[in-house]
Amino acid sequence: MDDSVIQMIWQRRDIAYAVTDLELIVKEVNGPQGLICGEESKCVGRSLYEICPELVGFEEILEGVLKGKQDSIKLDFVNREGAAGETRYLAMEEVPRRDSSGRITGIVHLVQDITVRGELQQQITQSRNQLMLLQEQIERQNLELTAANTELRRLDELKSQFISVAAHELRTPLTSIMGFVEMLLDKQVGTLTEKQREYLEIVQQNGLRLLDLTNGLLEATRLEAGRTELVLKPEDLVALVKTVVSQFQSELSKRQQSLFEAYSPGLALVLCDKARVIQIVTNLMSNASKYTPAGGHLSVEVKPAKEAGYIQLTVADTGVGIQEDDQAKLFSRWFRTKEAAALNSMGSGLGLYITRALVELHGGKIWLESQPNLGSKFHVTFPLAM
Amino acid sequence: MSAITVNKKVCLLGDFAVGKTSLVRRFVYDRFEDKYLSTIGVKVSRKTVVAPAAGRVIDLAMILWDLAGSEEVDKYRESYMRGAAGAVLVCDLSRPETFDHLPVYVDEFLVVNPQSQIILAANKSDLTEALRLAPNQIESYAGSLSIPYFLTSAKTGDMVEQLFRQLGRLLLAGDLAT
Repeated sequence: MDDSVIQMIWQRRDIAYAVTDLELIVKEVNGPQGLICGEESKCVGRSLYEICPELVGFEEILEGVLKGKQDSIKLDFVNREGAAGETRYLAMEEVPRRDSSGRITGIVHLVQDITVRGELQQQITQSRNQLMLLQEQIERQNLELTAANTELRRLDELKSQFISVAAHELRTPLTSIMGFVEMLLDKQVGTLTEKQREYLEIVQQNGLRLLDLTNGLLEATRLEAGRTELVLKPEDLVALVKTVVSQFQSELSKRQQSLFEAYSPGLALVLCDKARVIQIVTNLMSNASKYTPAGGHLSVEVKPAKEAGYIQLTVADTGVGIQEDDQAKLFSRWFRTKEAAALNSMGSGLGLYITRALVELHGGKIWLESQPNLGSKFHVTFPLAM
Repeated sequence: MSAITVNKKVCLLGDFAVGKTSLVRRFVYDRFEDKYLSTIGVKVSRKTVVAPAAGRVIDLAMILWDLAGSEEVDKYRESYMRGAAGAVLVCDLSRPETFDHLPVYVDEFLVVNPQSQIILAANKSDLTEALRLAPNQIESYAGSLSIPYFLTSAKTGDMVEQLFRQLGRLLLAGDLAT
């Protein structure tokens, strides 16, 4: 093969070489411009370490190559800065140079430009490293969120404990206040003037409101803390509803409200806590009456639910109704619609929140249909006692 | 009295994206690039510092080997570390895991270069909002290895010059001792 072919191969493969003597002084340079050092002609006569600082530290190994004890030294992906500041990737190899007798006379320093491969590898590494950084960041954020969540839960538990204790502490003196007010109103300690009676009735009314609020708070915190236990037994839902309805008759009469009852015959028993179901029905009946003007109509219906295995109770009214925007928030803690607040300043915003929690504790569902100024229908399901 | 020139190979070791390239760039060129660009293979830079040692003026040429902190270089790392007189261990103060990995690099490096000098750079000290490593953790680890440490910022240049100069002094002192 003549020299021109060899030159062509060097050029096409982006390979340059420098040949040194035993003292590692460069004697000959060939190949594409700029691969060995800035100007190839200026490389001759210089130390190999000068033109290739990457070999500093490899002195002993190069000595081994010169003595034939070591085959070669290879360095892959050596970064060099090009004339325009761009990164060039080089592969380097130091191999012994031998004369015709096989005696080592120096080093052949081979340099190949592998920038194309290097750039591709760099892009792959860059993407992977950035992904790993992102993953590390997400893991850190997850950890921080978990810690914050744990802290919030702890604070929430502390808050519930505080409310529970505070409500208990409020209820004890309140019971005493209510008892003495009742004694005064019953004239057990003497007659009252009209003004005194009027004021005492205001005290009694607000005392009842406070008692209702403390009871609601206690109930809500018990439910949230998972401390509410149900005594589940097969019960006749119609009978329970009728018990509540009978207790409401006098109030309905006072408000001149009519009540329509519809009970499907032969309904199976439901699995429920009797006292809690009475509480649920009482709350729904009370709301229906409170938010329906005098002369309005209420209805109670018990029938098999569309969902198999459940009985459905519906309490309907022709009251103020609930705006669509408010319907989703209605079962939230402390939520009261503007209309409800205007009609009845006594409510706490806990009633439906507790009702929903109790229904769900039974494994049932609660939902509503409502139209402003036309009225509302509250539906509740209870599971059958199998 | 003419200066004596001494060449010393120094490796920068640490996980990817801890700022090895940025530390070298700040020390050698006094520049900083905000954009993260992964290094593959090895980038060798040279910076000469003049230092007095044993009554002489020494030109210490630090040949800085910026080794990629990624899997690709794992297979070469041992051979690339050969002949190094010193190493700069680098971790990122905002990523504790990069600190946890330092013993692996130390062990690898000391197996190849048992007589070498090591210094620790806890980098990115400018990220004050994101710091997740306490200086006493760094101090305690450096103390356990009996090596100096610096809280550096390649971005602001804080303590970078001091880091490399301290390593230079250690390298020359090591020479005099032998």
